[in-house]
Amino acid sequence: MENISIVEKAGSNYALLEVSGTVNSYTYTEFQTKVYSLIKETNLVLDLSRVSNMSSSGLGVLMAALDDGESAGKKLYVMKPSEVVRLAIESTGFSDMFTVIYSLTEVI
Amino acid sequence: MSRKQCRIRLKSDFSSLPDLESFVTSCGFLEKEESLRALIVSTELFQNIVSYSRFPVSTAVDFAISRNDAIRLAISWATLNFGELVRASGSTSPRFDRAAGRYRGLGLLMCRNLSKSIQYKKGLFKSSVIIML
Repeated sequence: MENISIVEKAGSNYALLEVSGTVNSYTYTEFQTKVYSLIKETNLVLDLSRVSNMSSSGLGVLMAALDDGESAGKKLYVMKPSEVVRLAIESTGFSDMFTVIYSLTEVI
Repeated sequence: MSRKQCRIRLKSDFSSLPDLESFVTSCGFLEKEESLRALIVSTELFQNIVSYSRFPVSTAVDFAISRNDAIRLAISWATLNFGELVRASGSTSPRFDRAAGRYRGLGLLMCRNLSKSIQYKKGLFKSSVIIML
């Protein structure tokens, strides 16, 4: 199983991170650094359609980024979550906290 | 793998996580949804063991997944502080650790919510967590 790959792209009013592979305690550091840095500056879209595993390490980053984004007046979007990401988010009981989108046109 | 039981022994180290993920996803008798649940729960408990367990000598962690009426995931390892895991499993809500920049207790909450039951067994040499998915 692969590790993690993160591709960063810029949109008109957002940054997009295309994440592939697995986000766990072994791999999450780069993910955490990029997410925490970007959410303070701009709206952030995380394309998680190609994530093959998302552990609490990765979910904790998402939850902390929600808080940071709210403080900075920025918004975090989870785009096209893979099945395992969807299940992982549901298993926390905090699904309602996340804005899930399926297209970049949904970014406000 | 097509048999009804899969086993693997891993070294307690985050670098073993890719092997654990490959092991779970290659258990041929698991349905898709079962495989995803097993993947998440296995990952969370292994991360917890690597992060917090104190090992007497061996750092081996044994995983076994089997199917009878339900999916059974058994994790066994030698540990000196099994009681800490048992106590932590009873905590009800995750909390943000600002120093570490991450949430604590989230993984065990996920395990509870994805499982039908979780049983903690302290043994003389090895302790086990038995999860019914």
